[in-house]
Amino acid sequence: MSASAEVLINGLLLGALYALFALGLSLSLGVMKIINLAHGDLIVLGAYVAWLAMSTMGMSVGMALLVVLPVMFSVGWLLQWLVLNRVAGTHELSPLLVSFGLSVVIQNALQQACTADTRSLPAGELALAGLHLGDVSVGVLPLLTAAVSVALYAATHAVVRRTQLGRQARAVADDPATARLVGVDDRRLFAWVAGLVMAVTGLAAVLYGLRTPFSPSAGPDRLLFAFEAVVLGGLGSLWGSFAGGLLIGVAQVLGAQLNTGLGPFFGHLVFLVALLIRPQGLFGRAAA
Amino acid sequence: MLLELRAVRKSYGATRVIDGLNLQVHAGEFVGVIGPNGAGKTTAFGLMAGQLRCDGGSVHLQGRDVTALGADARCRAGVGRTFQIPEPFGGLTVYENALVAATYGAGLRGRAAQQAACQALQRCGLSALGDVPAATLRLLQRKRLEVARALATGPQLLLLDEVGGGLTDAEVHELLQLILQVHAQGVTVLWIEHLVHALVSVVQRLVVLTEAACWPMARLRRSSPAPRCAMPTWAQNSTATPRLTVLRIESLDAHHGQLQALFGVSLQVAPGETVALIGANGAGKTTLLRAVAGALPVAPAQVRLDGLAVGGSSEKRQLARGIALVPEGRRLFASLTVHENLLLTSGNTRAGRWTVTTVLQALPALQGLLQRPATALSGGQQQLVAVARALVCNPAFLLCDEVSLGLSPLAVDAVYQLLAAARRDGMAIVLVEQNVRRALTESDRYVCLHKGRVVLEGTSASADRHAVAQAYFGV
Repeated sequence: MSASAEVLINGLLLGALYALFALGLSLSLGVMKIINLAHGDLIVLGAYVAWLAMSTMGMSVGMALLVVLPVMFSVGWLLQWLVLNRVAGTHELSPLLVSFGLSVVIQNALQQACTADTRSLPAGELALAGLHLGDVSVGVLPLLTAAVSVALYAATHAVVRRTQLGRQARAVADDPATARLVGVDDRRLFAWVAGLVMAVTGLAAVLYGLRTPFSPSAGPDRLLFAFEAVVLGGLGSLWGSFAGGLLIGVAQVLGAQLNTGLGPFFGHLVFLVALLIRPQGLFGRAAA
Repeated sequence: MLLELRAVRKSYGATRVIDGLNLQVHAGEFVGVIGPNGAGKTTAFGLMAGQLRCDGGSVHLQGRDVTALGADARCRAGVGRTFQIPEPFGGLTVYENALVAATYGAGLRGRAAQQAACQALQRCGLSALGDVPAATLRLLQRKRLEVARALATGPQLLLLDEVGGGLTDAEVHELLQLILQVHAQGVTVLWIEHLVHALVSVVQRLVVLTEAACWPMARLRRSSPAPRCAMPTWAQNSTATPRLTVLRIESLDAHHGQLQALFGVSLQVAPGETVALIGANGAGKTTLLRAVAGALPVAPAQVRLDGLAVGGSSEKRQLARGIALVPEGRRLFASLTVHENLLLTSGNTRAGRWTVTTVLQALPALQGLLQRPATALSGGQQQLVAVARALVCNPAFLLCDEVSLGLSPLAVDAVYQLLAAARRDGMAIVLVEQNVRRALTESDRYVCLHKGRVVLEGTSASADRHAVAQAYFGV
């Protein structure tokens, strides 16, 4: 009983991290209608920025975040302003191809600059700290990750629902031409959203780096998990992406129990089966 | 009976576009279809050709019920159609376009398909262009290819959707000859066209589809007394000081892709004045409004505010200068509530009387609906929100595109009451309105456009209805 409860809890906690990966992807898809294929590599880039700050400058995790968040915000803002805004609206495939190219560039640049060695962020005592809840033991770091994930989803929800930025984002997602008519500058809006998306991604990257060793080629897998979470949850549904992340996480941990090497495989399997049953995703609206 | 529609219905969401349409077309007929924007003409074609599914009723082809058949099956059953905007397979050559149609539409193979394709091109005068990629064709040639492709499917019934739009008079004449030839060879033709003068010269029968109140055809030739018109409102006493800005449009040209929609249009709007833009579909009214509002690229000198060249600026900058557009079809944001739709502009408003609070005071009907999704309202309420969304920017010039389209008479009155309130403050309004009678009643001056050119203008109160009708239809 306690063993299965532990598996479930660990799955949910891992899923919360995947949900955090998915948040940025979900937002850029929902607002800008852009599928960023470099999303996974940008997560890894964030982890490397944190690693550089911690290993070369001897910063603590908290200090490193003060570097990572503004750096990643700027990366997102500039990327959107200088690159993606130029191709947005030209052809559906253009942003896809541009971000695919970007993915290759980031992977190779990281390999050049930081070698192909596997790195990890020193978590210190946090790495081993655990809590015992009855018979179940849970790591403090995964718990913290899950709390951050829930908080960020709630904050994003509030921004989208209650602020002027959120209203503009929803208006542009509905009908960009009319949004411009009422004075929304969609390019500027996109740059801000992309900046926020990358700041969130930077936070996810640090939590990821504290938990798992990473190398320059780790990006595509992160993208895949995030993408599965978004599609599984239903395009355009923020909390759907969260639920999708949890589901993938639980499936992976459960699968790993059956056979240690097959965790990700079971994640993909659940994704495929769920899509066969409900092609529009868990919380997506069926196509008219 | 070649084609019969029985009590056919079609809705898009909550909007009922076609409600119980009955239509019979005999073999060998040449029928023209006219009607205002949004009357459901193109939708009716979609239902006939099988691109759209009927919500109710049935479609019969030669006595056979084909309601359940898709577009491909109907094409093989003998229905060929062209589209309003030519959609050739751009990557294929002209000949290949026709060949695809002959192979899959007419079900021909090998030599027979090649012959059918060549014949269709020859009939449409495209033989010399067979090896040219379709994407490189000029507009008239594209329209010809559109007809050729439909002919290559070996149709008994040819549905033509505005093939004359965007063409010059000479080109329209050329196209008419082609279609007459096709009809003479035994093909039944159903033709939607806004170039009424072209249509009436060739068809045997006219079908009028109407939905909203519009100018009935039967009254076209009857001259009636000049409509009553209010004093120019800006001349009356007003508590607010009018902004003394003049909007001047000078030799405006505008394009939609290959299609030139406006040819050197000039007009002027004085402070507080209401100008009605009238003209048939495709006359360029919407294009003119969009060009002024910054939604279409135009040269700076073609739009002037107090002499300052402001053409081609972004929508946001035009809004800041006091030009706001209420787009056709209301275009509210479905993901936003009514209140949020109004709040959206709050960062871009100019100082003035209209705020979200005052506009809601003027529209008590909306008070209880603020938290509803904007598109859950009735059409009339949505239109009020759309006008209100522009009003809160306090523009000096409010451009209104088809604000009464598809609304009940009561709802139309409510919209015009709101516009009248805006006029009382000295706001100038440019009004695009299909209901010509209403347009003349609500305006100080009118400008009539035909195929992208100003053909008639004058004072609304003294407008000669007969002259306006002639200018409207270009007859």
